Amino acid sequence: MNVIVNVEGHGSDRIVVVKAIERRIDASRSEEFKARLFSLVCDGVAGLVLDISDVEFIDSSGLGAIIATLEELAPNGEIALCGTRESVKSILRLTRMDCVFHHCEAPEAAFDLISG
Amino acid sequence: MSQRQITLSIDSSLDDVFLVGLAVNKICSFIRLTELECYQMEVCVVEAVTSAIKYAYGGENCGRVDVAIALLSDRVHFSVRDSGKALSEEDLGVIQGDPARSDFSGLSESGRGLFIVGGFMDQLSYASEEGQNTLSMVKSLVPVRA
Repeated sequence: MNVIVNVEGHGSDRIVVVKAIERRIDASRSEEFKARLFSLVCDGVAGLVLDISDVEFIDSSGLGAIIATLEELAPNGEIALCGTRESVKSILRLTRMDCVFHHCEAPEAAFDLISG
Repeated sequence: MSQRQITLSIDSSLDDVFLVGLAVNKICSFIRLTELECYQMEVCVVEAVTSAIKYAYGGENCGRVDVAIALLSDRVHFSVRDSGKALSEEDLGVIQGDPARSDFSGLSESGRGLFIVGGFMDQLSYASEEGQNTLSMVKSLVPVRA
């Protein structure tokens, strides 16, 4: 299986920083993307910092994978997106998912936000 | 500008949808659309083609999806055609702007595709006749100031 995300580091054993390395997350890749994120949840992660700065294109399937991961996390689990491009932000705003996820420019700030 | 048009055609494979998306984005970059609008047009066409593959053809590579693009002086017209199963009443409700069918404020994983199309396009319609389903999408162009 191709690596669709990289686990970049564990700031704590409960929050993981992940970088999506695919430029496009559409219906052809969203199941693999979701499976990779779900595998982190199965490892006991409670919060995810998802760096999507390299993602140029995301559709409703890719967005659905992130939403499903949030649902899969513990009841108080959180996802922070960082490095989100304006194009992707427009999808989040339209679907009102900008209110569901935290947003930061840098992974470090996103990590501080959900670990604090 | 006189009408210019092109038709793109792919097999009903999700792996090939990006080809249409990239072409749409590039074509839109030559008319009066911003970079962000070009991306949004790409998303809309990708969503429409993905919907055709997933629902009309049940996710199987068993048919074709045609995307016709017409560039007019005041708008761009996209038509996505398939020969599979027609959209459900629920999906038609999203296209017709039925609020009961368009509330995605919750955390459901799927169902936002046509909602996104309706949000970025200025007109949206759907027709199913003689075994052909066509989702038509129109994006208006901002008039050029004299």
